[in-house]
Amino acid sequence: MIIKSRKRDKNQLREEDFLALVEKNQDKMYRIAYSYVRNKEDALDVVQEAVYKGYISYSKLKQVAYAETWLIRIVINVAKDILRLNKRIVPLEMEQLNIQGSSESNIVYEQIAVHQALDKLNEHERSVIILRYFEDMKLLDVAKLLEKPISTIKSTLYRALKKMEIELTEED
Amino acid sequence: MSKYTMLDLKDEYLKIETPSENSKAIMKGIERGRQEMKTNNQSRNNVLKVCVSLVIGVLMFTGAVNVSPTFADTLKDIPILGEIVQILQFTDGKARGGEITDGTDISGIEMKEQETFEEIIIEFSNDSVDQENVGAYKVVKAKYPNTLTFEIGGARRITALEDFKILEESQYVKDIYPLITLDDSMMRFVVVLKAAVDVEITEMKTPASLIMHISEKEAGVESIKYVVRTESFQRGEAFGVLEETLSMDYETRVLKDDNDFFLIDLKSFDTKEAAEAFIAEHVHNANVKLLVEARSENDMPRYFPNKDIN
Repeated sequence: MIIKSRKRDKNQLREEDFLALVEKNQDKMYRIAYSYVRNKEDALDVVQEAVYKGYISYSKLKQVAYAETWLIRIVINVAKDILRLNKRIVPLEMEQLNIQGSSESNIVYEQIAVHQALDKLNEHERSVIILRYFEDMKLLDVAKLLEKPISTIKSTLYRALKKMEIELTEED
Repeated sequence: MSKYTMLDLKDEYLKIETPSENSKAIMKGIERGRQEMKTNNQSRNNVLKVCVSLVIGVLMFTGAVNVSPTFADTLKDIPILGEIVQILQFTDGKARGGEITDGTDISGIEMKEQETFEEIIIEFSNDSVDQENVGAYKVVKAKYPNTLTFEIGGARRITALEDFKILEESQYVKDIYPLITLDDSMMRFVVVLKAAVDVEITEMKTPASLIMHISEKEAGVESIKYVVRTESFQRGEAFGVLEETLSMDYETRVLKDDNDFFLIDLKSFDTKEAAEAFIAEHVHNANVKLLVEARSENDMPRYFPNKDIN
């Protein structure tokens, strides 16, 4: 009995830690998923699948310090899987098009700008831009997350910025 | 060069709004994970489990509800936890199950609405920890009006009382209320349902819960029964004593009337004459004023105040 209770306690703590991690990152997970799949339904599927995969493998995670990086990696991998499965041109959501002209039209227009900028990039470049600039991750963490050497990440970043043709107004 | 800076793009990116369904997607993922882990653990632990099940005990299972209240709210959307023990079979309107336990708290009630059915989940805990098995219980089904009376042995409190009001949202449940019970080794409550519904009750363990699956059925021809009942009383000890006395001789049922007072049904008949004949025969034995009330399946009992005891 005692052994079982302790095991339960450990499982409980594990679950609580994981839930806290997911709660903290719930918006980030959705944003990243959405940036890849570009529609709400698929983005929600990505989040669900990533949480499921994360839950069953959380106990294997060795360094809790990298839990967030690890979780985002799962989200990105699942999003790529879903894109591959769908193998289709990602449409803009109809609702986005429909509300143009309403008071929210500026937001819509701007989000289209983000999508257009990201559209010029391949999957890998897109990941680097999203993580480094939009989610403010350190280059080292981006490298860890994408499992590439930091030098590769730097050159990818350089290439991506060139493709996007945007002005960098801050020092990186 | 693009007219946008990276900061512009970042601002726009951060405006991607998380829809409300995101919490649901997360909880679905977690629940799938739980189920998966459980299946894995089960195959590993089967031998251990046989030994453990011989020991009477309460296992730890609090889950994630402690993480934060907002997150706990989203837990309401998750599928039901636990293993099925049995789907209740009613004989003469009664069904039993559960394991003898003590110190049970009827700690939670949840409702899940679907298009064609509702599920009402009654949860049990012990010392604030989810209970392994439902305490030895009895459920009695009766009609005119359609009720389920739950008796939970070993239950000491109903902290879910506050949550009972979530059932106001239900399209099938008309009322739910606790009953006074002199015997403090159990707790009872009544669920009043609409007439034209089917109910299936499932007992679950690890953690313990009773799940009522309620769906609509075709309404039958409306009929009337003549019920022999007591007058209406206030909830209290005197009423408790009266019920205890009557229950020794009759298949009693306690109900709340349309004025929130309580009464006891003794028996129902197809005709008024038969009901009156019953009263004539039993009034001395029952030693309380009895009356006949005509009720359809959807009628609530009416308020006939008693002057002596109240």
